[in-house]
Amino acid sequence: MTRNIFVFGVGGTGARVLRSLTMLLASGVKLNNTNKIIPIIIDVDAKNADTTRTLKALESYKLIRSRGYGDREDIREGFFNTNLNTLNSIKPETGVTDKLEDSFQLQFENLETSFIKYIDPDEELVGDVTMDLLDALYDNTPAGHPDYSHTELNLRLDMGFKGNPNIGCVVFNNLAATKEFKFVMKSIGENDRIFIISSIFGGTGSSGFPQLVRLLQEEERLRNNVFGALTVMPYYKVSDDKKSAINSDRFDSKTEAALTYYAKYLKGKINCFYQLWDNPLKQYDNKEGGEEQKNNAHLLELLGATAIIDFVNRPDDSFRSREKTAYFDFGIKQEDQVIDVRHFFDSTRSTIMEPLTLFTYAKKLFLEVIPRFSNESFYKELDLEGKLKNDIFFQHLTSFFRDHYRSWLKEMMDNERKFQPFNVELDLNSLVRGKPIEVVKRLGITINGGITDSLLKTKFGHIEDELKKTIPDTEKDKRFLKLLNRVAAECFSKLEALPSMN
Amino acid sequence: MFSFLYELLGGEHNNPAYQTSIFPAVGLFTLILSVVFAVIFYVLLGRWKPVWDKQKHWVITAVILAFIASGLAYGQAINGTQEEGDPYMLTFSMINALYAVIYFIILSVFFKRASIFAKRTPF
Repeated sequence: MTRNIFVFGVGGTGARVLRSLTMLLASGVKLNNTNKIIPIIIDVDAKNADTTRTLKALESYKLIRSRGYGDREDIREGFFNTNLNTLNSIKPETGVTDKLEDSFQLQFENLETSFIKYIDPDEELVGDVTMDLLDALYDNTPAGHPDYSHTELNLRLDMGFKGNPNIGCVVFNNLAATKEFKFVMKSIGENDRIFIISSIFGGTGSSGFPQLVRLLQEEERLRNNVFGALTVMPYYKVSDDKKSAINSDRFDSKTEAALTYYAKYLKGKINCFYQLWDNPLKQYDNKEGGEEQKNNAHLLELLGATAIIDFVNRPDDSFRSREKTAYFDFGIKQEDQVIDVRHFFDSTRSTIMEPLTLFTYAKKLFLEVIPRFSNESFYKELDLEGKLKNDIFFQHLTSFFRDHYRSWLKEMMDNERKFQPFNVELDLNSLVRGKPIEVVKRLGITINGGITDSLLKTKFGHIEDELKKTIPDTEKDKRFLKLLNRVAAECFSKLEALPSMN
Repeated sequence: MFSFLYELLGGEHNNPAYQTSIFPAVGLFTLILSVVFAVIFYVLLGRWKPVWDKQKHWVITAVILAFIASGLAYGQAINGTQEEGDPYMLTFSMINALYAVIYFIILSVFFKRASIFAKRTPF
């Protein structure tokens, strides 16, 4: 039985985990019995750079997928095979007339104001006892004070909740009134699964997650759907800045408070609960949000994305009732500051790291090797000369490999803890860290050069010739994507297997 | 047919050996030779590995074919007439080289479809 998976990414961490999920799905990680993955980013910080970057990657993925495979949902092999699509692509069973924006982001309404004006737009509460209650609950430093704009009641909502879940929960309460959320409620089918990603130490994620669960489960129709959740606990710090509303010294206490709340109020509501944390090694610059909040990708976010893959691939009969929530952690073979393929157990190595290795070979082939092969027959047959410059499919493919995937890998390599599975700057024979492909020379003559230009030209030619027999010239984008996949697989066959730890 | 082609460019020769045996034999052998070269270039090498598939390789192949065709015509003319070499024989060898290249160009149009690496060679 096939189904759709609705993945809600709440707040900045939610967006960053979705970014990693996009990379995994682009690499061809396999999903069982899945028609569509519908990522829905919920972030009130409209200009948050982490969110913007994820949205761009998702949009590129969607275009590449659509040009490569059309609307087919039965594709189970190859790069970009999963139908990762917007809410707009779903046709709800019940009649919905409203047209939605074709976006991966769920839009809130009326947030271009301060928290107090959001609660009391017409200033009807001035002098009222409710205002006294608000003053007691929230910090309300008077106007003119240097910290005025950072205080809770005066916080601008379209810049995020800046680590204040007590504000977030009020705003999230109104989520149910948005037309997008109403559409979501009608779009989820009885067999569909729901997954929610959030951080527990910020403002948006920690307040949005329980509210979202509550709003979804208020709908009678959705009470039997399988719910999964990933809660990311502190894995980084931010630098001290007295002017900032965010202080990482409070991350642990906020985590503890939120966990206590979850234990009480989420009991019996989630089937699978995935939890991730790490010793915070990296100190990011203290950015409250907006265009400046652009945290480098982190291994933990990649592991978060593997939780979604695990949830999606679980057979229906593996889920216990919500009363007996299953809890999952993620472990590696050995504690290290630099992590690579060898640190993972076999299951992760085969389901996640093999596709990622293939995709990294493909990235190098696409960005560095293919442009050098402009005299080859396959290059001319696929009209790559003109298409690489002018065709929107190839422009997005270039952008995905160069601006999204390569940046994502490099950010994880430079972060702490470092994730360095690939030597991205070295040649194809040395790509996989810990297992170079051996070049055999005798008397100065190369007997086996591993992955050489000559081998690649031969493979590109032979495979293109073979694919041409089944994929016509009218579907050259699809043929190219398959060609890239097959040649990357040939590179992987030279490697034989991923390195392992004894 | 071959006599017509050679006499079209080189004119008639009063020795009947040209018309009766030299032109047909050289013409047929040159055509077969061109087919063999096209098969080697497009099918054998052109489907094996990208080692001899570019435009420069095609030009070199055509030049080699022209040299062989020229030598073949000159040798056959001497053997067939039992005479010393003369300017007509030289012209005949040049014309045969030209026809060999023309055959190769025409055959390329057909054989390149069967190739993998020389599908777009020479045009």
